[in-house]
Amino acid sequence: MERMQQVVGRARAAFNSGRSRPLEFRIQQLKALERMVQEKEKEILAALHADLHKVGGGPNAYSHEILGVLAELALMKEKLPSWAAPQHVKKNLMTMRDEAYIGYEPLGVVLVIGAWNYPFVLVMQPLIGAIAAGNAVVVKPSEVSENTAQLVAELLPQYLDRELYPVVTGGVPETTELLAQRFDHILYTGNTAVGKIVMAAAAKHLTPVTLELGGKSPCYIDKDCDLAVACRRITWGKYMNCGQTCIAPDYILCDPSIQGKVVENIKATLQEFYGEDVKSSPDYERIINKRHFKRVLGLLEGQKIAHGGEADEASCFIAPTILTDVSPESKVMEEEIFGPVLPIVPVKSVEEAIEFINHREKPLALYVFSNNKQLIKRVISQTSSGGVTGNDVIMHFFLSTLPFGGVGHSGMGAYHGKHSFETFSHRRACLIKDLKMESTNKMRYPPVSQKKV
Amino acid sequence: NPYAGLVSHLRASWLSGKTRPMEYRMAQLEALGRFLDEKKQEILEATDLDMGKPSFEAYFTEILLCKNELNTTLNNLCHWMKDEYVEKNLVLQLDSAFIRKDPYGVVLIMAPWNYPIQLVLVPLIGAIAAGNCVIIKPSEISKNTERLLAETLSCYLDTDCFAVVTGGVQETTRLLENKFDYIFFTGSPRVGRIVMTAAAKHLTPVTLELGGKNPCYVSDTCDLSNVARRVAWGRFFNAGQTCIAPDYLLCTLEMQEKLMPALREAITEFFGSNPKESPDFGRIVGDKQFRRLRALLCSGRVAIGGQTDEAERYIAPTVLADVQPSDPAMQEEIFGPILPIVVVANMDEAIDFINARPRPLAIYAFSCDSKVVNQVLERTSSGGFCGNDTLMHFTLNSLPFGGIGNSGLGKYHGKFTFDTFSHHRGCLHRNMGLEALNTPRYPPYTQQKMGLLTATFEVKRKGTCTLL
Repeated sequence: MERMQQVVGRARAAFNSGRSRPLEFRIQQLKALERMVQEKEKEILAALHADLHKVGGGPNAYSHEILGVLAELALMKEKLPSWAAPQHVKKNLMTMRDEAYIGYEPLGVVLVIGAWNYPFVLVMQPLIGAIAAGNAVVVKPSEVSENTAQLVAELLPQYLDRELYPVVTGGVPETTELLAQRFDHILYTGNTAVGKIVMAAAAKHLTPVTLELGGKSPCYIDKDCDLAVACRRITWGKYMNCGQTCIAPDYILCDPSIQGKVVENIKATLQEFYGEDVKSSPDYERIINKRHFKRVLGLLEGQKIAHGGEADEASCFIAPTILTDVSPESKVMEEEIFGPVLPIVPVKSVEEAIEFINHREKPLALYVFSNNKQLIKRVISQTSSGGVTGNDVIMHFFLSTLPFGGVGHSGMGAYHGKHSFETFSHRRACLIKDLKMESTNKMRYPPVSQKKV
Repeated sequence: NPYAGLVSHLRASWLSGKTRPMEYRMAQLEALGRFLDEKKQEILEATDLDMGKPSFEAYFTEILLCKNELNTTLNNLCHWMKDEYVEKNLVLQLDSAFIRKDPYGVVLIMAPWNYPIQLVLVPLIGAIAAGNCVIIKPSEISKNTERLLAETLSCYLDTDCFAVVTGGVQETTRLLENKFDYIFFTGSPRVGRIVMTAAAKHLTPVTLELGGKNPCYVSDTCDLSNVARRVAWGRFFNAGQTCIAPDYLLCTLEMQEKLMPALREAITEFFGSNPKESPDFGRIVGDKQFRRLRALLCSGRVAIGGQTDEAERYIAPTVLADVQPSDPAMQEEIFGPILPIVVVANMDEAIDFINARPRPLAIYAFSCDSKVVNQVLERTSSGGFCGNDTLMHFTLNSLPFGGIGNSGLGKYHGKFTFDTFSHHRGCLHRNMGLEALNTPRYPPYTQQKMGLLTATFEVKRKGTCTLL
């Protein structure tokens, strides 16, 4: 208890000193982060490779974890002055002569809890937003991706203000201790079950939370669509990071008549991406650890394997796998897969697909492929999800002008770009009146008569 | 689970899609407008019975402010509902990117007793505008208004989609066992914690409009009679039972002496020499609250007022001087017509005093010197802030209304209510063609692809010279 209390207490004292508030300070810290990412690129990629077999130096890790972070930093530095400026609002008759505006202020001490699947970016992107908004930030990377956690713990103090932005490492006991402290905002990325624990802990202190959770992101493929293109895009999104992506298309819904063609197209694409022997492709990742390896493999039980299914426990390798004619009641349709297994659930119509989706928990992402624009619009309008990409997968994540977050069991709140800045800011309503001009106030004072009304 | 049936009935209505079309929402909102017009007398009577609310106040806060919110919403709903198109990056130039405002589903609004119609209606207006089904839980303490809402709202709103639930702590606890898609709660921080803990079980997002002790700093350079009037008005409105009332005053000893006659004069001007007889001064809502407030009177010394009448639940407009931070009046949110004055040496001490305490819903600062007002604003944190007046920031619905820390989370009023009850869904609608543009992202990964990817994804720092 002592250690966490001290770390958080120091961060709070540092915040109370006021030094994280001036824009110049925030930009200076963001620039330092930028230097860190540029100077330590090799070390970061090596850690990612050690944790997830992510291709060191390859476009996958580089683009997802490094480029994304650099882009966010550049955006913050450029926009911060305009975002942080007071926003004057429309006044009414009574306030015509007054100053009325919304001031953007830091919340205080923010806690960022990262996840293991994109261990660098899922800690950095929230951190960037929280710093930009003027807060102190306690960073808790996931212990499951231990190499990246270690690296982050080593690097951040070398580049950033040590008291304002401490890194805390450890597992469940340390995180539980951390959650007992009072924070002014908590951003958690992870699963639904732990999300509930985080929110319950936050409730004790009335701490607002942003929960980036998960779920089963459905992918509906319409009969009227360019199957080759659709399947290439889906294959890319499903099997990147060995399926361990919160917004990966979890399962496919399509008419039984195109199921065979879908399988064929995905198989062809897999060949194109990873070659004959997937296991020896330098571009295909591994499952994070034995526990998840066993869990994902277990989902294949009793299923019709149309492609893949090979596994090797020693290296936590599971081949890109496709399951056909999957029953909605089977185990693989109960939990978020988070692995390279793609079930296809046959549905007879888009109406059936919509009903299927609406009877389940709201997902983090929803995908629909069709040449028919109206159909895509209909699916979006009749369902709910954190976000949507039509005719592709994953891509809405990369546009920072779109808020990224879940709804229902897939989460609450959002971030990225300006949405991060707003998530980590308090919008304070300010009305400044003149101490004179009392005559206009007289109409509101007692004693009253009908005339005043 | 006694409410499971009701919740699933509303959820079925929600799934039917009934509440989504704009016409439906407008029709329900217009019906609320008719409720305010046709039941105006009943509203004034019920709030009078509940807490002796003066009809001027009831008209202003329970009818007029609600109609303003209604009209703002009706005038702008079409615009608010539209998809918000966003700026795109290089890769997505040919696609469609927008934020869709989706309803959450079935939402719960829990209201307190002090502004019992307004604190139901203003969130309700936003919830309906955003396309949700709503369960309304008014406070059982303002029992006449509770009955009015339970009996009459069903005559105006679609009962398939909107329901009123009555009851006390037990019923509310059972109600909270159900899964809602959003919970909007106005009340005390203590109950706010209970609500958020219950919400956590279902991962239900919440807005909590709570309270605290709103400090009011009066500097030495100020217009005495204007300050006194504005502070007295804010403090004694609704007999002090206002979440954003100035809870206590901070000023120098000199100022305390000067303010006292000015406050006395303002109180007399407002309520006459015997406020008990004034139709413009309210009563305390219940016996429990009355007794709690009476116990606070032993703080400092009674400089103005102090009279009480238990039978009427009357507490005179009271000002307490020389109150110490350890006195009873400084331990909890007062929520009554008692204004303690705590003496400080100067502005810096006042700011330190404020910052040593939980962040309040509102902070007030009075000074003829705008630098002083700005200093207090900049060096403190609160839900909202009003310089040189009290309460008024609440009435401008282009300003977000909400707390921070112990005083709450989330915000509403005007468009902010609509946004509170909407899920902002990031949507990207891509082109099925132009697949060649996607090639750099696919394996097998090569250095060439990496270069292309960097070139297209990178956000370049503006102003840099790119020669090659």
